[in-house]
Amino acid sequence: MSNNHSIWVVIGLLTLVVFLSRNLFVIFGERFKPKGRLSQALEFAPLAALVAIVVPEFVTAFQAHGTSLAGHVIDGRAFAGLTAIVVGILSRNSLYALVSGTLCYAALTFS
Amino acid sequence: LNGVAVSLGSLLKDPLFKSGFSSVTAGVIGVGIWGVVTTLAMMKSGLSAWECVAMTLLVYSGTAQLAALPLLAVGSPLLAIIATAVLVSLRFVVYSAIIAKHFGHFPLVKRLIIGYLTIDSGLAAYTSKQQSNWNSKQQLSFWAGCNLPVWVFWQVGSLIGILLASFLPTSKAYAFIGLLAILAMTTPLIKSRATFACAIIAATVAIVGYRWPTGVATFTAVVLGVGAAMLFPQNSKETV
Repeated sequence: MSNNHSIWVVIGLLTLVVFLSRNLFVIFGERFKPKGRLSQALEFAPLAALVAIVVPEFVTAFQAHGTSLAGHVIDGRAFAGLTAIVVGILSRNSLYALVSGTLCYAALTFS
Repeated sequence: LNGVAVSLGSLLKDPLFKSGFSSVTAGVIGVGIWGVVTTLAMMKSGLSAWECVAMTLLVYSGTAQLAALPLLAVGSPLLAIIATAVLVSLRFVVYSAIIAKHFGHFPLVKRLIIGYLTIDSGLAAYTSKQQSNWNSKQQLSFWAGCNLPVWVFWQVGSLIGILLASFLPTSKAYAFIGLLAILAMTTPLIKSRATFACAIIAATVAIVGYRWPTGVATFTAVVLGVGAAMLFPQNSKETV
């Protein structure tokens, strides 16, 4: 990698940014403790973030194939995702959801 | 060092540690795959094995590591790389407030270690199952069960990625299976009308904000998703 700044400077700064973000409120401890409705609201944040991380991949799949069923069958991502969601909701078990989704993806893409 | 080994041994036997671990089992497999994929991507874009190890150990954030890669590859200014890292890390600021709420009474160094080692899936598992009447030791055991295995699998996955980089072509399949794992972990969290609303709104924001910079879309999804969940009446234990 040939840049004008050292990769080690980048690693150092990334470490600093992530560490400070992770600990911004943690540093204050009990003096700055979210309470009441705010503290309830915060409990929902990881769910929303996980959803937002996953969704763009499926947007990409739908941009590639639109409503073409054959395209999605060959691509496999949309059906694998759907399988994981349905199995996850029905079984309430994330390992079953992961295995069924992966099998569906493998069956469609490697067949 | 001996003391650390002893307390680690008793921690591994703690039923709350085991219960935490079992709630992230599917997650750690996914995190391991993510570790492999992220490191493969870093190796393939020209980082050395030592630079990859340092990234994985110190930064410990797949999204920050992956987001920085394309910018490094084209030689973007340092400020642009840092701005991107800040955006994808905004959700950690929200997490830090959750951690402060649960662990605010711990000593500072312990809090900082907890803050550094808490990741998305581990925090989701912790907040969905923790009991408000737990003492500090119970909290710490359950937290460790939810988060430490993820750290271990991430590091192991990264090492596997370094070893594999010389044999494997980079395939999009690894990345997708890693994403499926996140999806698999997320679905069972949707178990009330509030969590359903939260997921739907977050997904909608992610679709609308598809072309926005990565961190902006994620942060907006968090704010609006949480807002949507708050429109529903909360009974304290049935929430996420």
